[in-house]
Amino acid sequence: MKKIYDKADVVVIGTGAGGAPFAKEVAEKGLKVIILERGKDFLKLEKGENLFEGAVRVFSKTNAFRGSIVIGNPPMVIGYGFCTGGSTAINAGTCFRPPSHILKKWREEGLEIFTEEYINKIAMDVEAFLPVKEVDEKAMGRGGKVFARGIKNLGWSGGPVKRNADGCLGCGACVAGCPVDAKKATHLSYLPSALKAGATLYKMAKAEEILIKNGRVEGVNATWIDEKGKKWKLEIRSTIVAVGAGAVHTPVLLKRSIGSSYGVIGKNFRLHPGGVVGAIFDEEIRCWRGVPQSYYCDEFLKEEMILLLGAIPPPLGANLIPGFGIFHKELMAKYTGFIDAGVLVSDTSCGEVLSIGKIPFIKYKLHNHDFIKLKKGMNALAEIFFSAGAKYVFPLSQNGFVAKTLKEFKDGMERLKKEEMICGSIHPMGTAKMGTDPENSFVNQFLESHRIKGLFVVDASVLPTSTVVNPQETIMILSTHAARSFLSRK
Amino acid sequence: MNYREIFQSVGEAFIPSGGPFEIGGGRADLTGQFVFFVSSFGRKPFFTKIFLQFFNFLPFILFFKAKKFTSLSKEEKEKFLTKLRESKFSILRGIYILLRSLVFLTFYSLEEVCDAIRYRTECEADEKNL
Repeated sequence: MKKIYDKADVVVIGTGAGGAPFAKEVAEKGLKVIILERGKDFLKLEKGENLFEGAVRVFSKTNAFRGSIVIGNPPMVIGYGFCTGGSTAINAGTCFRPPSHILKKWREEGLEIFTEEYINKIAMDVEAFLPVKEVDEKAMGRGGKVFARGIKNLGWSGGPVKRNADGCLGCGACVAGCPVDAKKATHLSYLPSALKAGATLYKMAKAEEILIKNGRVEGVNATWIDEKGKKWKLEIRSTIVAVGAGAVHTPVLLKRSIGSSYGVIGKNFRLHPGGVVGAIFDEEIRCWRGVPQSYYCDEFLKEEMILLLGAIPPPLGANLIPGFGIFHKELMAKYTGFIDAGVLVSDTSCGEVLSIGKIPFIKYKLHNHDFIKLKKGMNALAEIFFSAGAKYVFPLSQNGFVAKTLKEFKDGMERLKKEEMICGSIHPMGTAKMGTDPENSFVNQFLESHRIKGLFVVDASVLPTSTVVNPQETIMILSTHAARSFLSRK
Repeated sequence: MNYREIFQSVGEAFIPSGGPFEIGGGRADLTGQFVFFVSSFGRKPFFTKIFLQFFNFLPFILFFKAKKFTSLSKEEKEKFLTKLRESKFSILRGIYILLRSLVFLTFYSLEEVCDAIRYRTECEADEKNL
C-alpha cells in the first residue's frame, strides 16, 4: 500500500452532526482543514421511485445504515449512520434544543459554561444556518393531525416538530434520502460550507490511529480508498484532531490510539432507549404521506420522557402488529388507518462500548427504573391513541397483544416483563464524557481532552447525561461551541 | 427439502391464504423477494438457508415430534409457532421473531400485497401526496 503524506492545521474525523459543524467553523477562519469520512456518499430517492425499493437501493449502494449488537437485558440493536452526513443523513431531521433541566444538570456537575443564554445563542446560529423550522400543516400529513388531536383531547402539551427541512414537500422519504434535498443533513449544509471555505475531504478514509506524543496530538494515520478503488495509507500531520465518529466508534478509535489506561473511555454509554406503540384507526390516515416524525408530546419532559410520532412502511409495521395468522392479516388490511409513535427515555442505565479487534459491541442492562419509565411512556402513547379514536392499540414486544381499550392495554403492559421488550435505539451517547474531573471524564467543557493537548471529541460521546430529546441539534451546538472556544483561545 | 419449500411452508403458517385478501405467504414468491433483498446488498442467503433447515427440524429437537415443520398439519404449525412465541426461553422467542420478521419483511414488500392493503409507495414529492 502506497503512502500519502499530508499536513493540516486541523483534522476532523467524521462528517455527521459532530464533525461537520466543527470543520465549517474552523475552515471559515482560514485554517487548513482535512476531513476524514469512513463512509460513502449518501444517495437519495428519485422522484416517483417506489419508497421501499428506493430505500433498498440507497442503503445497499451506500451501506449507510449500520448497527451494533447490544448484549444485555433486553437484547437490542443500536443503529447509526455510516456515510457522508453520518446519522443526520438517515434521520427524520428532528431538531430540539437541549432542555433547560438537562443543562441545569450539566451545570451542577461543574460544566458552568452551559447556561441557557449561552446555549440559546449558539442554537440560534445553528437554526438560522440550516435553517430549522416547524413542520407546517401542509407537510404534516394526517398522522400528525390525528396524534395532535389525541394530545389536545387529553389537555396535554405538545406541538409540531422543528426540523432542518425547510421546503419539505411531505413525501415521507426523509430517512431513505430526501428526493428534493429539502432535509439539510450535514452533507448538504455544514460539509459543503467547510469545503467551500477550503477544507479537503477524503471519503472512504478510515482513521486507524490518532498519533500522540508526550501528551500532545501529532496527527492521524488512516487508510483511504480512492475513487478508482485503490487503497492508500494516509499520514496526516496536525496538532489539532477533532473526533466525531459517533458514540460507538469514537471510543474504539480512542482506545486504539491511547490504550486502555484511560479507564473512562467507552464507559457511561447511554442509548436513549425507545419503546414503540402502534394503533389502527377506522379513518384513512396513510401514515407514509407527510413528515414521518411531525408531532411531539412533551407532557412528561420533566420525567425525562418525550413522545414522538413515527411512520413506518408495511414491511416494518407488520412486525409491530403482534401475532400472526388471519387476525394479523385483517389488521394489515387496515394499514391505511395505521400509525405508530415512540417514547424516548432519558436512561439512568449505563453500559460500555467494547470491541473485538476493530469491531465494536456494547454491554448494557436496562435498569428497572428505566423499564418502568418506558412502560409509563408506552401507556401514555396508548392513551393518546385511544383519545384520538383508535380501534386497536398494541405495543412492540416479543409476545405482544392487541388492546381495544386503555384498560386492556395497561393490564397487558403490567404483565410485560423486561426481557420481553423490544427496545431500539438510534441515539448512542456518553462514551467519552465531558466533565471537570479527569478521573471520571475524558474531555473538559471545551470538549478538549483533559490529558491530551489538541485532542477534541465533538460528537455525542461527550454528552454527560442522556438528552431526553433527539440529540442532533445538541451535538451541532456543542460542536460549534467547541470550535468557537478553540478559535477564541488560539 | 430445499430452503425455498421450507420458507414457503413457514410463510403460509404465518400468513395463511384467504381472509381479507386472497394471497398468502405460501403462494407468494417469498424466496424470490428475499434473494432480491440479500443480493442487493451483495450477499448470498447462506446463513438463512442453514437457519431454515435447522428450523425445519426444530419440532423434533424441541418437542420430540417425529415430524419436520413442513410435515405438520396447519393446526400443528400454528400451535408450534405459538409455543415458540410464548416460550420462557429468550432464544426460542428470538427464533420466532427472526423468522416472523423474515416472512413479514418479504411478504409485505411484494407489489401485489401492497396493492391489496392499498399502500401506494411512489415517492412523488409533490402536493398530490398529501
